[in-house]
Amino acid sequence: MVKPPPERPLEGLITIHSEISPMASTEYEPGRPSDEEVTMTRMLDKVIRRSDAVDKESLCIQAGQRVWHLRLTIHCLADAGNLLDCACLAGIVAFKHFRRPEVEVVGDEVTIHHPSERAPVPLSMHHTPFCLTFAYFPDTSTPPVLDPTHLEQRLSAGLLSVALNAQRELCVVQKAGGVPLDPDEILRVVDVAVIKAKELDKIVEERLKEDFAGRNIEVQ
Amino acid sequence: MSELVLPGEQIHAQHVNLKLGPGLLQLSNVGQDGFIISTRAGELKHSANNSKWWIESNSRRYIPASQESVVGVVIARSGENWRVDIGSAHAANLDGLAFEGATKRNRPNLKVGSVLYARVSLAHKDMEPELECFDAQTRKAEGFGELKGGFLVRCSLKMSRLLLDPTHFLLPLLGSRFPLEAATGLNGRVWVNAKDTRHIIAISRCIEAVDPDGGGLDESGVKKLLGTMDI
Repeated sequence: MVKPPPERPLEGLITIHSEISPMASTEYEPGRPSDEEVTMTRMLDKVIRRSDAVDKESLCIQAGQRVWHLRLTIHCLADAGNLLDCACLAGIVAFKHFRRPEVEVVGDEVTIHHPSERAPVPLSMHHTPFCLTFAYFPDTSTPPVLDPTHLEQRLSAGLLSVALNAQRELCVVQKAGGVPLDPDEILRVVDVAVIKAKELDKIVEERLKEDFAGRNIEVQ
Repeated sequence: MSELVLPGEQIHAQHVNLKLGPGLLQLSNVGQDGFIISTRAGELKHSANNSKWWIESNSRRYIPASQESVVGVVIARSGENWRVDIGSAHAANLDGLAFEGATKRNRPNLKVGSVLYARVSLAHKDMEPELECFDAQTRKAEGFGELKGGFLVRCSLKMSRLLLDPTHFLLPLLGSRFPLEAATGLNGRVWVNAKDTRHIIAISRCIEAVDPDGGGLDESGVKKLLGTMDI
């Protein structure tokens, strides 16, 4: 819980920390952010923070004085290609899974209830964006590949990342250089991404439901 | 006769000439006999006469050990030495003169990105590993040195040990179909080369299929897989 900045007294704060350590692969060096790391940090910021996936106003406890500060840290354990999609998925599911302590505000008094006293409360999310990356190859007869492996990523000429939610709302389209594409191709790719996003959404919802079914504790 | 052990379990191994293999460590306490603990999770195995004990485990991360042959990729040059990536936590150091017949005037012409077959000469957990490109006893190349062309395949550590086993079926089976060259490193990397690109892809797919991590196909499975490929 922190004091909010004066220009936004009614919103909580979210910070995302993602650093690819050499644990993910021997290609990454500590201290020096590689190109991929910079892209990943920027995309994570856009997909999770700037797309307003989490309702920041619900994080406010007392206007101008106390708000929740959520800190998301992503540790990359192994790089098998397409770290970006994986990190975005992990971040979004972490927010959906997280439960924060319940807070009661009576006048000026703020009481934080420990999770053992009152059941913790989920974060209020506006929508669930998923990031999907397509790899394009220098040989134009090869179709684009969704979710490239390490080798496919290394050999690709360009990557197109599309972030959208299951309600067909586009959050981010990122294409930094690479192979030139015409608009029809991008629309086609977005259609494929919509199908995949719906599938992912179903899988995520099912698994979260299963997980919570196993977490009911009865207090005698 | 094999039991599964977890790291930190005490192993009761007694023999006059006890030799501890990978995964076992002897801790010594003052005044009493040292006791042996396991440092990896896996199956505990021992030789018939109980003199050699070791742990069979599989992983993808390489921990350098002395006198092991590895395939490395040159990542940088620091003065006269080369920094080589062998998949371990630290980049390894290769002296520019650690080749057969190398003198100050006559050095091998390596570049960043070259693939090498080298032997780990020094490996301690707190220091950077060091490599040499010649055999320890004969001081001759014996296959070590730069590997030109070809393709690098990644596999698990157990797969690379299987490939180095002369009785394993995969490489002779592939060799009977088409000529190939292979250099297997104990760090989970295999360098393969063949004349036709499709043969190289076939070898790489077969290695991934036979890998215990990726399915563990047996000989008949590999023959079927080769039948589906266009070679």
